[in-house]
Amino acid sequence: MLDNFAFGQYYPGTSVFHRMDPRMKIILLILYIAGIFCAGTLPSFAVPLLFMVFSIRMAAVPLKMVFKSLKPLRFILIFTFVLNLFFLQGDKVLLDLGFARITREGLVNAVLYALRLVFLVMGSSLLTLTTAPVPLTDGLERLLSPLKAIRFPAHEMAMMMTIALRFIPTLLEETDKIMKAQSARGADFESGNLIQRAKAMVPLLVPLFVSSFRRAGELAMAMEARCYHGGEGRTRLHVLKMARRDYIALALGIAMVAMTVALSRLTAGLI
Amino acid sequence: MELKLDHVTHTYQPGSPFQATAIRDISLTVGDGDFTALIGPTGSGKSTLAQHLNGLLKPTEGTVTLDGEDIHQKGFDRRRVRQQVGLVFQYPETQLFEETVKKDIAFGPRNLGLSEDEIAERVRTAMEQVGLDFENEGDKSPFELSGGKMRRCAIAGVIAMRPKVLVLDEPTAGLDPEAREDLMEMVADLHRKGTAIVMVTHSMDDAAKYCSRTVVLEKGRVVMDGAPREVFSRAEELTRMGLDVPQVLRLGMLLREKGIPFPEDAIREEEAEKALLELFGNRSGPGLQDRKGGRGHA
Amino acid sequence: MNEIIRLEKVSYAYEEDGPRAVDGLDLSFERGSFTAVLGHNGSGKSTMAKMMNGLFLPTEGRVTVDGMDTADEKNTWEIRKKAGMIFQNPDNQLVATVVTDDVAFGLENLGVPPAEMPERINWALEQAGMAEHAFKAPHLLSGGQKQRVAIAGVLAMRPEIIICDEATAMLDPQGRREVLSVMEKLNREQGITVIWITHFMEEAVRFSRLLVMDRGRVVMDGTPAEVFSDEEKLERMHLRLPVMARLSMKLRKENGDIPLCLTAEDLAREAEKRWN
Repeated sequence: MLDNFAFGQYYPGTSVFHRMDPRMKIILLILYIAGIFCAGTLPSFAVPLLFMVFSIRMAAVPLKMVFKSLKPLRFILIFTFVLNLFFLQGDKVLLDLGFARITREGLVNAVLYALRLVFLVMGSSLLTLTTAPVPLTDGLERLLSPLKAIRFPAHEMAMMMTIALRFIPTLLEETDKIMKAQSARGADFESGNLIQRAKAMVPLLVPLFVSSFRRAGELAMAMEARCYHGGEGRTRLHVLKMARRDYIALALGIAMVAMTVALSRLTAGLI
Repeated sequence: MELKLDHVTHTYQPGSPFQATAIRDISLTVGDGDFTALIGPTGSGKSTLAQHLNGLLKPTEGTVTLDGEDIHQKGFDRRRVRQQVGLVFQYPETQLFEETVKKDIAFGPRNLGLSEDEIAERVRTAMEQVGLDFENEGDKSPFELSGGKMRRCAIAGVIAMRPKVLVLDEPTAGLDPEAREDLMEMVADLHRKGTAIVMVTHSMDDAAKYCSRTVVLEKGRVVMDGAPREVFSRAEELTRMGLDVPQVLRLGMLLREKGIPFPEDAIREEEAEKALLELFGNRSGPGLQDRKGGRGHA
Repeated sequence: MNEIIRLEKVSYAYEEDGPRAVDGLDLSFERGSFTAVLGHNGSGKSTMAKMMNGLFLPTEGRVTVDGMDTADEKNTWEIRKKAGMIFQNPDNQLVATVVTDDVAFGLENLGVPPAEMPERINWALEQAGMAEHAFKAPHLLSGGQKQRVAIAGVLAMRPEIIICDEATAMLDPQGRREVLSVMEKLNREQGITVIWITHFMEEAVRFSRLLVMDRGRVVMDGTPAEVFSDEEKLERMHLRLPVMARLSMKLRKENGDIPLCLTAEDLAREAEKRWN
């Protein structure tokens, strides 16, 4: 029932993007997000757009894979678009529905927000497509580790992510098994109204919780038995090292933000 | 009652890159009174096959019929097949969820839409059948029971639906020797009282001891199907598949290699005992007592 | 040979004033020994195991591993490094999403320099027969393979003792064979002390020493031949003789000359001697 859930979305490859330091890829994503939020006008979006096209080419990832990540977001996308459409009320009315008006400013604003959302998701999916879970969590942990000074649990967060990724397939399998076992006892998960359906979930959720807690306890003990005692004094198998390509990418990223800001300023009056 | 699989093939995620055919062209009939062992190496499709028996999985090709009616045809009441064919998964105790043992066992009968009186009666009988104490254990939380009893409670939840066929996927996995033996006796008892049993097992000794029929799966196909004695006579093929053979059979093979005429068809412990006593006991055979004088019945 | 683990008057209760899961154990294990611990569910075997690497601390008494007291906090990590542990559920002891990274987990915890890791990981995977699966995701492996990854993870830390707490209970016969043969090899070739908790009688016959536990105490302690010669006592402990042992004992009643045989090979050999 759940077996066609596409797990993770790493797309193995050897492109420059794949070989880049995961930390730099995360920094690039942050820069990129900064860039799309600095783009305050439609023409200024040309820069992030070009950067995205260039990145996808460099990553050698099929365009289809990048767009696939947008699919689950289509409702949120439509919702924010409509909301923004009516939210900002300008002077140039394009359409008057009586109870609400669509203005030119509102339309531009809605398009901008929709574009930002689309590019944000595409950027993030490009990161996960080109970075396997292990380096991704490694990179995240090391980027966040300076924050340990202010007691930010960088190591714990990364460990949690790793364990979550490790156990998602196991828990999906288990969910499937329990669902089938309860169906074998005549449980019905598919029909009835909302309340009936919610109630039908109890025989699934209780065993799932019970077993997850048991798993958590056993895993904690197994980790302790293997000398796990938090992040302190821990070394890592994978040594991350920045290469020339990483610094070039950083330079390009900064240039992208600068150009977006400049273009945004220059075109601010046009619309 | 007749449950029949006719040329059943099942492919997981057809058309995707993960496409995998788990069982191929399987034809199999389960009738009243059968006690069938389903054996095969891990990944041979036993669990997939088991899930076709009560309609949890739908064949990609072929049909499953219950008393002549296709269980996947439109208008066929799914509850009927769920009621007639009970399925106990591996480690079934993981499906317990209710506050009390009684309530958990009542889950199945309640889903069948039975009256409260009927449900109560079924819960009581099911608990008796699996050897749980209705008075003392009925109101306990199932999570307070010992491992072996939790398993029995879960099985009771399926038995309470009064199935004509009970399919069990490795019912003794993870239990200690005594609990294993008790559980197998309980299953044998259900069989004696008229429930047809299909049991997925890795224990060839159990297959030899309890079953009337053994079906061997390899790579999703039925490669052997017959009385345990017939199937286990093909020991070499079974070993090649990475399967065990009953220990008694192995002993027999070793003995015959050494020229000792141990019967070829002995697969159960009591058969071996009888044969060994005939060969080496006091009464007959050129046993040692000829030389040293029997010290036999001490 | 000298002793590597020692339990002195050790008791353990899960709750204060609760029943004792382990009750007054006095016991030691020789360096390089190969011991199986038998007992029905709830006999205290698992609790005992968890005291031998400081996961549980005794409520009473003292456990020492290679001379180090497990109750002394500064010994904890040294003891766990020395005494590795494999658990029952293959799924619930692997941490990482790739086999190599999981084997690295223990080394990372010990603070081993990254440059040393690949060699130790490869060696450990090689020993466990899992080298060809180094870059697979654990959820795609069979139960027996997962357990062997867990063994590799422990092995990479270069332990002197490996405690297997019903490591084969959830495996199919093939997985059980694979895991036990790996442990036999490690004991033979690397001299690792193995403590193997099980309720499969057929596995127990392969060890040189058997302990039988009941109600938190060791009630039988000896070679398999010694332990299995007392069928009545085993039955009282809710255990069963292996099939071959049972057959040879029946035969012994009739023909007093046949000794206790633990495997089909033994029984066939003894029978042959008496046939000619």
